[in-house]
Amino acid sequence: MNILLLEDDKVLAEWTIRSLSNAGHVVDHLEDGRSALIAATTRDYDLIILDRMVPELNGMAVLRTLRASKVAAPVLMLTALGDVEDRVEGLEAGADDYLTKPFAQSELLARVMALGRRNLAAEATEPSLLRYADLELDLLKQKCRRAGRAIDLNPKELRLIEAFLRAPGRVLTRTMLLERVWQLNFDPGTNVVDTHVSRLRAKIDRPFPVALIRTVRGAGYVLGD
Amino acid sequence: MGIKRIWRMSALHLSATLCAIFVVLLLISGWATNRTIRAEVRAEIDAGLIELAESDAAEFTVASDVISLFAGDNEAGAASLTEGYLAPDETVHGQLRRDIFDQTGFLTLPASALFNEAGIAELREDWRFPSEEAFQPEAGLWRVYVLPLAGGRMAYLEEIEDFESVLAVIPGVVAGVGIPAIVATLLAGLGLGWRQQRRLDRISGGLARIADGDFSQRIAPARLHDDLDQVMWDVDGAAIRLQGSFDQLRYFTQHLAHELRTPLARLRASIEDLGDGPANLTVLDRTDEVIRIFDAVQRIARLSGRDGRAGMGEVDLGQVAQLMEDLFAEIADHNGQRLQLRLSNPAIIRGDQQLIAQLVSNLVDNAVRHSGAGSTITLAVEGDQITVTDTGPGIEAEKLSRLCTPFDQLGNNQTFGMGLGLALVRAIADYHRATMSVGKGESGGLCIVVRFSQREGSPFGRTLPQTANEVISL
Repeated sequence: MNILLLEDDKVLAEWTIRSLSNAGHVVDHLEDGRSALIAATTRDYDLIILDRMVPELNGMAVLRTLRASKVAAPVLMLTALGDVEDRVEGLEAGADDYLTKPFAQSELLARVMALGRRNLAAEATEPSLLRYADLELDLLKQKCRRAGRAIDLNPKELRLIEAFLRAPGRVLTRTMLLERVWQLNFDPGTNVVDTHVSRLRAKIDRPFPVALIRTVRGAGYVLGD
Repeated sequence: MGIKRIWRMSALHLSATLCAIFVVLLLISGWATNRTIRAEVRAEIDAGLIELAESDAAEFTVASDVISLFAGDNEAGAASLTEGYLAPDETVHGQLRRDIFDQTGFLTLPASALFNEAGIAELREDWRFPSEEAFQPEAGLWRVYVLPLAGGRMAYLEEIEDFESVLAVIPGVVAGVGIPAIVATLLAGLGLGWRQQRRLDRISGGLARIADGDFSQRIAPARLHDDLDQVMWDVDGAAIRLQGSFDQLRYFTQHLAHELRTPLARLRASIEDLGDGPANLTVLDRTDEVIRIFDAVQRIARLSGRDGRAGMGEVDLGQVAQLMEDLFAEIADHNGQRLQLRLSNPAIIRGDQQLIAQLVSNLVDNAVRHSGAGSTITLAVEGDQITVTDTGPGIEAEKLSRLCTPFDQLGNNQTFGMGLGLALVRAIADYHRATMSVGKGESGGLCIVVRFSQREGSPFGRTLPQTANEVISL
């Protein structure tokens, strides 16, 4: 993906660029809001990453101007402000996702992947049937099958497998799962997500030869083979 | 305005005190006036009698001359009601009784003790009394002066009943004037107090808003007329200074957050770059722990000293509880614990969805972590009250009050971190003006109750901010 990065901290910028490049993305880096705004309106980017606290024009102002200028590229906001209100403010101003520093590299990469234009569009559609390999989920009937066999899942397990099926082959971090399945923007501590996933695996993977839900160490889980 | 509030009005107290002083002064002056007038009048009467006696003493030296005063009809009749004579031969002239001449000097007597039957009969027909029935011999009072004259004894009389009845009017006048005056003063006090109360309420309201962190309102009028206006002015001044301090603090904490997070982010990034080795992962875990603690402390700090205003919406407590039961059921099961949900008329309240979810999550997480294997954890929502109980070992009573203090170790490594989670619960509860209590459950485990009803807001009934948790036993 072509990514525009607005970040004024040199050390973090260098690290972010390296992480993204290693994952195959091309990154343009700018250190102040005004230049970023000009770049974003003159070139076409697959994703724009904005830090909030930058010189010249802050990230929120850049975001608002972009949206007002009908720039539709997905935006990921980075911030050192940790308030719930700041997150809500960012999302309401038009950001598609919001990450608080410090964050893990895997978290950044997983969310960047999720925000890729194609993926965003794909996740936004409302199919009645989701499929991956021999796994099927009928959303209307709320029923799950694998290799033709019906699998009995309770409502939360259904929501969990749905989240995986909507993002096939892409890493879903624990925080992403908490947001998508339980609509929570905080970490409840302990390893609640892990226990839910292993329960799910016991039903979806264990009775079958091939495991579809894989653990990505240090990052999260992925539906892939 | 209830009876209790009227009772506590300082203006009413003031006017009641003034009335009491007025009443006392009135009674004292009434009594003093009464005594003074009585004494004065008596003195005058007595002086008059003495004068008569002296002129007679100069004029009459022979008993027969005195006796001749009482001879004759009408003239004597008139004289006999004002004088009487005991002749040297023991005969009584005039219509007085014999026994009054036994002593000399001044006497005060009713008519019945003074006059003989003929005298009383005459008095009955006297023009002074409107009817025969109006004359009461026991009631009428007379002043008598007896002294020796021309070998016998002369008695001079003056009726003082008139004066007595006049003096008896005075208390009636006092009461008649005083009581309406007192009532009027009290009512005036009430009325003025009512007006004053509104100004006092303004001051109370202003202080309450400051206590809640709202420094924007000003209560003083444009011109200061009295000391209450001055107090309002002082309250506004305090609000302005507090606003300044808070703004400074907010600016500082906001930039502090930014200033600290960036170095933490750099630190974490560098550690991640070190690779996947087990030692590096351990260091990364420890760093994440620091970040979590910093996060929680920052959130607690940002929530404290602020009231929920922005970001509030409708929150269904039953839904939130169900979500949390959903979330934690697996891990409880994994730990050999039982997590049960009890809903009874769950309320929908005004609040921040994410914060309340975090509150419930922290409570359940706390129970899961610390109640041990085999424990039953109950998450109950009754109306607007959330209760989390477990059947674990619980905490000793002395330590309960320290439970929500951040970082308090409670002397046991196992419980490290418990304080922070519950401190955030407390901060979120305060943000929503909810009350939180910590105690022992029925089966000895820990029981925490958070109640979302609004705290008392009236000026007289305001509860003081809680600085320690309430310890209850259920």
